[in-house]
Amino acid sequence: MDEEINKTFEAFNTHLVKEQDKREEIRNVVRELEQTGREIMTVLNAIHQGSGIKEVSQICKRSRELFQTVKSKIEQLAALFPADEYYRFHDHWRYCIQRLAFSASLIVYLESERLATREEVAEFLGVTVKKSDGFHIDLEDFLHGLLSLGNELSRLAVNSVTAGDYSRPIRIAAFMGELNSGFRLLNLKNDSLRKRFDGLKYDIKKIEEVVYDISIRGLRPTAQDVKEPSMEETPAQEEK
Amino acid sequence: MADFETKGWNRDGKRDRGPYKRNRKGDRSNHPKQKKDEEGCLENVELTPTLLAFKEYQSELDLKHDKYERLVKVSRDITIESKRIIFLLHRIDGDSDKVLTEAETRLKSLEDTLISKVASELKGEDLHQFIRAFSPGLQEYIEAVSFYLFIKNGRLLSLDEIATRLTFSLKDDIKQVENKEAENADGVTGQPEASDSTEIPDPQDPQDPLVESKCGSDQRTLSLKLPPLEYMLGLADFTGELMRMCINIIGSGDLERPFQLVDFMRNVNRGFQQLGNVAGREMVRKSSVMRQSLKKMEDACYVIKVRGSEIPKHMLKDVAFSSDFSTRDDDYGQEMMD
Repeated sequence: MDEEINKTFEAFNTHLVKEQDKREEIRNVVRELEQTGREIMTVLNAIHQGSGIKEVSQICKRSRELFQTVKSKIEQLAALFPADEYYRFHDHWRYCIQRLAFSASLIVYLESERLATREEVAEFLGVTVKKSDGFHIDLEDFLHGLLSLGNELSRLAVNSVTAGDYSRPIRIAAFMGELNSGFRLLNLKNDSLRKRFDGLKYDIKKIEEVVYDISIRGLRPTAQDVKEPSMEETPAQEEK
Repeated sequence: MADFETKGWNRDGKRDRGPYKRNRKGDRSNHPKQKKDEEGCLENVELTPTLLAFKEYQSELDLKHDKYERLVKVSRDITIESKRIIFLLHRIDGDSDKVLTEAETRLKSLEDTLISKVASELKGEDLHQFIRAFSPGLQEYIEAVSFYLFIKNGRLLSLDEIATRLTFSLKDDIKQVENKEAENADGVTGQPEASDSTEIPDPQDPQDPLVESKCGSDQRTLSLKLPPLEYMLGLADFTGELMRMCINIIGSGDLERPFQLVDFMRNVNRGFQQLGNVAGREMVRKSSVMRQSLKKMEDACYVIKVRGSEIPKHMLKDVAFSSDFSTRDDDYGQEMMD
């Protein structure tokens, strides 16, 4: 009986050690992936600079190139474990993939001013969208990425005004409205995604204020300068 | 154009659900509660590609959450029934055969109903995606099975045995239950699982029982493959029952068995100690609870040894607990006794 118990625990111990090694391998690849993700973000951050806003297409091109590295890293990652054990190690790359999904959707937005679909983002990362097809992008991770996009765009709205681009905040505002109504369709559980979504309204408020500011100063670029009464609902205007 | 959209968005962003509700119901003020309404209204609104995409995400998320909730529910039921089986096993004194038979029957029916439900829920899914939903139930179940097998055979449940128990034949469920009952009635002891393994292909590689598992199935069988960690956590819980059983036995006046139990417990404890902290926080916590249980048992044995001959048997239990260690944190044992 003694040996039997010992054998059981020895086997379990071996199992643990093996698992530990595998996780270490995964962590290493994820670390490299994170590095690339940071590089992409650095490139994309140039849009906030006064000059950067004018060369958006260049910035997007450069960051798209970096996504080639991401693809190869993810391929490497996917080869480390059987496809049906994705969720066993999910925690290791969850955050990283969220950031990458954010970068990808930001690129799509900058290029065509619309919301990236999950398929597009998956294409960027070189993964699939369906669980059954191997390494995929988890829906919640993708949605996390979109919420980060909302956050980034509220910053971009402010900075584009500083850079003298008065039409962009208005377009961003419209976009955010759509994003928000999309998210309101979801029945979120009380988890991290829900918390992030709750933060979206502050981003929207911020953009509203920007739109308000440029509107009352007659900075709106188009001819449609009709003042909209619903604007008066914006409570905080002491921004400037 | 941009202006128009901004307008819509402004109201949209500012007051939740505002524009849609007003579209349909005039100037009704918006109550935060009426979610159904909002969805209904949204369908009337022109569906942009974004909204269409989000509809898809919505149904996918709902599907996942529903499955999760169902698993949580089943897990809770498994926990309740497993706890009851454990209580049943604690009632053994003297007439052990009858209790064991009943326990086996109940374990079997627990497997055939609730646990096979978990298995079929997880069919074709990644087990680890939902593991948080059903892991408490599973651990409680393992605790019950290992306790049962320990009482019956005096052995530690192995991962292989549990894997066999968690393989369900899709058609022959009922027949198997009957087989089992017949077996038990005949007083057949040994490994009841053996009869199963002949008709069910063993999915595990015998060389490496700890091959990491997922939920798999073929046409005839459905199996819930247990992650070794869950199995180990279940075993850790089982040692709490062992401690309780040891104390009860002292109460009933048996002065031999406690020493055997302590021996067994020491072996198990040694096993857990050698795992260190690589197995996760939960395991570390359970190991330390186990050490407390072991200490309680050792103290009890000490009292028997030193004073056993001086005190009437029926008072031993009280004495064993009135000595110096009565001040120690007794929560775990208390909880199990409730």
